[in-house]
Amino acid sequence: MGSVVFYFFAFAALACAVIVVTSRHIVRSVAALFVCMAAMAGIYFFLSAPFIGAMQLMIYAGGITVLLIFAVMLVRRAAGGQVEHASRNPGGAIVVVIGFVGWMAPAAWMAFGPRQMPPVEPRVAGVESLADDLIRHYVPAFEIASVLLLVAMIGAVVLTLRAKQREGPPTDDE
Amino acid sequence: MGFMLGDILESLGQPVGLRHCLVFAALLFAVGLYGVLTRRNAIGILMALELMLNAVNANLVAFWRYGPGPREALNGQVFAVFVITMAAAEAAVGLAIILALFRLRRTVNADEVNLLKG
Repeated sequence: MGSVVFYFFAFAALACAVIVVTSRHIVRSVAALFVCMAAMAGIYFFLSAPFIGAMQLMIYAGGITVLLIFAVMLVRRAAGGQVEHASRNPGGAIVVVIGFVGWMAPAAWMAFGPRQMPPVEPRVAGVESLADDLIRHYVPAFEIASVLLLVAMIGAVVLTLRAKQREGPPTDDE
Repeated sequence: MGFMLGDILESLGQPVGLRHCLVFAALLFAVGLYGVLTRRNAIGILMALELMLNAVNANLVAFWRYGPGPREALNGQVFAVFVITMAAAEAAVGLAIILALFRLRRTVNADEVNLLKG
């Protein structure tokens, strides 16, 4: 039963990922990315990491997809309708990808035997102990991550504002 | 040679193990890699990049779940949280750069932007 759940979500995620990278319509790509992220959240729930699954749903499926849709809409309207979304020289990329899979997948397959899933206490998998770990052992990384988010936020605002100023007609009074 | 198609088909009936998760993550990473290599649209490249980051996250959580001691440490989950944070920051800055670039050059095609070309 558990295997069926895993294979369902894994197949859904892979199929949607293929649509994301091959579709000719960018909006269709974004929609497929949304479904792919939701399926990945299902896999995290299956692996008894519910907090990661919830974060996945909120940040990836909720936040990043909406951000991408906004970017697509802004670019699309300014470009006058259709955005070019075709692929380029897929031959070489297919060779690279087949090389990667042919190298990684057998290595991963042979390195780890058919190991059963160890039982996890509900308390261990829960949010409480994760928060405990995060605040107790990983405080510097936690703080650096918050500073990184702040810098990224300011950086995004500065980038878009500066471009808007430069876009205006050139003036001599500088 | 332990990696045969029949072997894989046989293992589909077995309970899901670490190697199933790893092969799934490798396939997802490969799909993302294909997208990064073939897309001309910068937004498409960013989407494929998100797929690759997700594959990494799946690996981290799988290694935590099947690792030696899921009771002792939640290291894999903590790493996954930080990767998600990084991905959010990266998406915000990346899309801001793409929009700024679009205002400057009127295109989001990665191969038409050659400002650094000497």
